[in-house]
This record gives sequence, C-alpha cells and structure tokens, in this order.
Amino acid sequence: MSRRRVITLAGAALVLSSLIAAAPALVSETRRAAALARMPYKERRHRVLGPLWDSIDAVKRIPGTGAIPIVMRRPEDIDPTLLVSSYLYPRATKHFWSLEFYRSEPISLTAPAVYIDTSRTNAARVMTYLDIRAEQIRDRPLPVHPLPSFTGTDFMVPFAAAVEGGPPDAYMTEVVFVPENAGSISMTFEPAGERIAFAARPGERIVYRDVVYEAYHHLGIGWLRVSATTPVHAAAWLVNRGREQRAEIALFAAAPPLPQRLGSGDRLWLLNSNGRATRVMVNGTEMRLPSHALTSVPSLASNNLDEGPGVLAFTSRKLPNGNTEFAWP
Amino acid sequence: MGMLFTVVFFPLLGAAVGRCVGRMQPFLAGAGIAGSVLFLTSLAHVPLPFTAGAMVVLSLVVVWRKRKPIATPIRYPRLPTMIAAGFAIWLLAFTAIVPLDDYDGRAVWLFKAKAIAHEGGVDGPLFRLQTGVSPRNQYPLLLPIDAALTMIAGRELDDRHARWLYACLAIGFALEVRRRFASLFSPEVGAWLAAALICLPAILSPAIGAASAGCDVALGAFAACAFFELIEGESPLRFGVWLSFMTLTKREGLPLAALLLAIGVVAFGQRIAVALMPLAAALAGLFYWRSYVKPTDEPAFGGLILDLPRHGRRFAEFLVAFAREPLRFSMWGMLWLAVFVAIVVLLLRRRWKPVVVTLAIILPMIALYAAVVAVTNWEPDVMYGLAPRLLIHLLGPGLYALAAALHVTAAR
Repeated sequence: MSRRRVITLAGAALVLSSLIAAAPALVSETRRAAALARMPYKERRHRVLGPLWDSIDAVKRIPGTGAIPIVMRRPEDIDPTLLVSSYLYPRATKHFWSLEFYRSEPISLTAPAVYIDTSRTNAARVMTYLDIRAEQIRDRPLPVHPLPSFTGTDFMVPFAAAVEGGPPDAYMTEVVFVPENAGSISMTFEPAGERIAFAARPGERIVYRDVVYEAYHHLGIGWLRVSATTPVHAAAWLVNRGREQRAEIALFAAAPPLPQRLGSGDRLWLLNSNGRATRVMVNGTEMRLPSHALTSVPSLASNNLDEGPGVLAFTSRKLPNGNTEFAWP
Repeated sequence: MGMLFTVVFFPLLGAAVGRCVGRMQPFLAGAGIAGSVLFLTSLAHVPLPFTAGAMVVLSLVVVWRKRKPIATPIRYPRLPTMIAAGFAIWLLAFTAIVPLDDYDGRAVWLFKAKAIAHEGGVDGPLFRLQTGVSPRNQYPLLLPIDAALTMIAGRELDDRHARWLYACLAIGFALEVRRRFASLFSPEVGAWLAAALICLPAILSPAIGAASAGCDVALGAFAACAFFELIEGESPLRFGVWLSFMTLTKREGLPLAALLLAIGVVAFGQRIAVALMPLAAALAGLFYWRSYVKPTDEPAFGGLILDLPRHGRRFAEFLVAFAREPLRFSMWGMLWLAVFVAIVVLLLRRRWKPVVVTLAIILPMIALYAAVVAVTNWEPDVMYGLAPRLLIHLLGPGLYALAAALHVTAAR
C-alpha cells in the first residue's frame, strides 16, 4: 500500500468517526439554523434563549439609573442571575442570595426588583419585595391542622401580624376556619377597621397562611374581629417563618372579666375590644386606650389589669429559638 | 459590522506580525497580538480605539513595506481540504445565524467584553466592583478585549458581533495544524488532521467549542502553536509570543505555558531568553492588573492545592473520571483513542522524541487538573464538563503524536 493511501485511509477513518459522532447534533443544529435563518435576529433570540431573554425587556423598563436589585429564590439561581446582569449591562445590578439578604438592606418594600426563581419559571420577573414575600409564603407547604377546638360565631384573634423582623425572623399570622354550616364570615382587622367577608361552606377548611397580607394587602400588627352566620371552628398561630417556629394564639369570644393577672414577658399587650376609648389601670398606672386599639408596654415580672372593662391583656416573650411564648389571662 | 471587522482586522494584524517575526497563522497571531497589546496599553489607560487604530496603521505600513516570507507553495490533497472547508463554512454560517447560547460565554466572557467596550479599558468601574457584579473578576482578558473590539466596531454592546471571532479561531487552528504538519511531515498528514480537527464534535460544540464564546479553542490553538514552535525549534521569539498569548487567555494558560517553557529550556537552550521577553511582559501586565483588581467568585486554587496530600483518594477518583473522557465517542470520535494507539506505535518504533514531548505536556496537565478539582468540594461528575475543555487545550500535542505515528507508519 502506498504511503499516501495509508495516510488517506487513516485520516478518512478519523474524520469519519468524528462525523458519525457529530452527525446527530450536526443535523439538528443545521435544521435549527435553517429554520432560524428566515427570522429577524430578535425572533431568533426569542427562539434560542427562551423566557429569560424575553423577560429582559420588562426589566430594562425599571425606572432610574441606580443598580437594579436581583433577588434569588435560592443560591442555586445564581446562573440565570448572572445572565440577567450580563444582558442588562451597562445598567448596574446588585445580587441578593435570598429575600432575607435583600430585606437586610435599607430597601423600599414597594420598589421594583428582579426576582429569579427557577423552580417556578426560568424568567426574570419584576416584583416588589411584598410580591416576592407573598409568593414565597404561598409556595410553603399547606399546613395540616386538626379540627380546631375553639368554636364560636363572634370572636377575637387577639394578635395578627405581618411583620419582618431582623433577619432571619419574619412573622405572619396563620388562621384556619372550619364552618359548621353554610353561611358567611366577616373578618375585620383592627384598629384600622378594614373588613372583608367571604362565603362559608360546611366543613371547608379556610386557611390564611399570612392573614394580614392575604386579606388586607399590607404589613402591620393588629387584631382580628370575626363574625360568622354559622358556628365556626377556628385556630390561629403566630408563625416565625424565618425560623420555622409557630406559637398558638388563644381566641376569645369576649374580653375576660377583671381583674386579669398575668405572668412575666417581654411585652404586655392591651387590646381594647370596645368601640370607644377606655380608661384602664395597668400595673397601678392609668392609661387611656383608643377604640379597638392594640398597644404594648414593657412587661413586669407580674402584671395586673384592674380597671378597663372590655380590655384583654396578654404578654409575649421571644424565645431563644425564635418562637414566641404568649401568656393569656 | 463586528463580524466583518473580525475577518479583516485580526488577519491584518497577524499578517503584519508574521512579516516581522516569521510566519505565524494570521488570524491566531492577530487575535493574540491585539488582545495582548490592548491589555497592556489599557493598563496605561490608552483608549482602546486609539491603540487599535494605531495598530491598523502600523500593520498596513508593515504589510506594505515588508515582503512576505518566502514559502514554498504546498499542494494539499483535495478531499480533506474540501471537508475542512465545508466545516469552516458551516461554522461561519451557523455562528452568523444562531444567537449565542452557551452559558459561560454569555455570563462571563462576553459580559467582560461588554464592560471593556463600554468602559474603555480593563480596569473600569465593573472590574473595580463599583457598579455591581463582575463574575470571575481576575480571569485573563485577551479574548474579551478582542470581542470588545468587535462590539466597538459594531457600535453596540451585542454579543452577535463577536460570533465570528470564536469560529475563526477554530478555523485558524485547523489551518495552522495543516501548514505545520505539512512542513513537519507531509501535506497529506496536515490536510487530514486539519480536517479531523475541525469536524470534532467538541470543536463544533455550541457549548464549549467554536460556536460558543468560551476561550478553550483559543487556548488550545495558542498552545498548539507554541508546541509546534517548540518542535521546530527555530524561533524562540515566536514561541515566547504564543506563550504570552496563552497566559492572557485563560487561567489554565499559565501552568500550560510554564510546562511548555520548561521543555523549551531544554529545546532552545540559552536562546530561551528571547522567549522570556514577550512572556515576561505579559506576566508583568497580568500580575500588575491583578494587584489592584480584586478576585470575586473564582476559587483560590493556588492556596487550595497545598491541601492535595489530604485529598489523595479524591485525586485518584478524578484521574479515573478524567481517563474516561477521551473515550467519549460523542465528543471526540476516535481521535484520542487514535492518539493512544499512535503513542504505542511510536514507542514500538523507538521514536522517543514525539512520545516524550507529547506525554510531557499531556500527563502533567491532566494530573494538575485532577489535583485542582480534587482540592475543591466539586463532585467527580464535574469532570464531565471540565475534561473536554482541557482536552481541547491539549489537542496540539495529541495531534502531533498522531501525525508522527502516521508519518512513520506510512514511510515504512
């Protein structure tokens, strides 16, 4: 065999092996290129790069010239986050490994940010801190509650909060209602007096994981006045979702009779269930509580509420594990 | 516009360099010299367009006044030439049509290119971490600078302008293999191995190859050029120039260049001092730049590698994981298997030189890669992504062993 033929055979075998190896990808890539060739470049990018690229236009419309915050659902979302930064350049971006990192900065809760959560979608979404918070709460697994032991038609949830503490503490109030019969339930967030009503179907579990934000669309601290046309089994918890802790909140049909005696805590809370201002005598000091107010003062080792009909007193203490311990009268 | 700029600007510079220091593959030399010179002048805050313009003028003068080096025309066989040309055309058409979608290219390398084009240099606000995020902040910038030039020429910060830069690097690599092996062995060997190179799935890959915006093909091409200079032993200056390009292209370029330099000391003797000049300039620039540009998310391999004795088991696992990669048919066809056979053939024929120089490059680099990965907390399947990149860097020595074995077998 001639020298040239040996080289040709060996070279051809090598090339052929590469061709066989490359053929599937080569065919599909050539088809893809042929299909894309007829399209404008913008459309090609849409086809090739998918929803992440498509979402960049909306991100570019975020007003201002400062760095755009990009919040990751979890650190694994860093890859699309870097791509978004690259696509947005020369607009500066600032990355946050999670919502907790984002809220540790002095931010506006309603300012637009870019949110990357690849477990939901491979796109960059323009959302506010509150939107992201609400979505993350919705994504939490639905808690399984036994049938609550408290039953009533008119009652109070004496503490309802949607507040973000210093990271990782983040509080929300979870409530569950199970109506006995068909009817309606109204729920008023006091002291603001914001009221919502909803239908009740017998035996249906109505769960608000973050009742203040889900029902009233803002953060805040207050209490809930619930009225139903049918007896309702109900329960409520203060949840520290940053530390996966929960403390049950006692429900009351009415303020307990006076005097009320309470043990120690960090804060002593006073809830005025009356529709008028009320004078109270607490730990020997006279106070005036506005209508439907919920207020707190530093707690003593033992606390006494001696005057103030229609007022409910309770204490709260933050535990080392991030949970809250309530003491009820 | 940026793509047209790519096929005019870099070959012009490369041709001029070739007229000064002897024949070099024009595109590879042009891309290397542009990135290196602009990196160094950018450290002195000379505006990129000014330096690039000066380089064009200077190149035109050199090409006009200096005669082309005399080279005997080579008649290459038609079939492999047509195959290689067909794949080169496919690569150019594909990269012109299909938008870039490799992750590293978009998120790291061309992000840097955009910053260089927009901020006018290699130490602007992005690199100084004043405007947010800069991934892998201390990575070398030769190719991002080249890509930035295409964006400046295209007048927009769009990665489409840089698409032909990477395709042309692969084509230049194949042309260099063809010419060198024609000169070292025979036109048949050169033409067939160039064709085998350019149709490798790893080279055509939109994820890591010439259709991506990664730097592995460029590093592989520069390393091959340096290796071929080492084999020819004619020009320590060209050898040093290719080494300097390697160090400014990718982090792995530095140890690979050091290895080549160590062998170069043996090959060139005292003449190695000439090679050190361009290399020293590149290294001085690189380390000066790194002295004030802070690292971000790049692993500190330099410190971690001292922990290697505690990771012996993982090191062995990674070596095994790495050994499987050359046999991955979908990425390499039969190429690396053929390289292995070639080394056996060369050993049987007692052709020690090609075996020694090839293994002296390939084995330490594989060991270094396995060691570097072993000291991190990465899992063995990371090798699935890393190993093909390293094998691209080592294609020059591998192809050389293959060419030498083909040559001796056919000459028998």
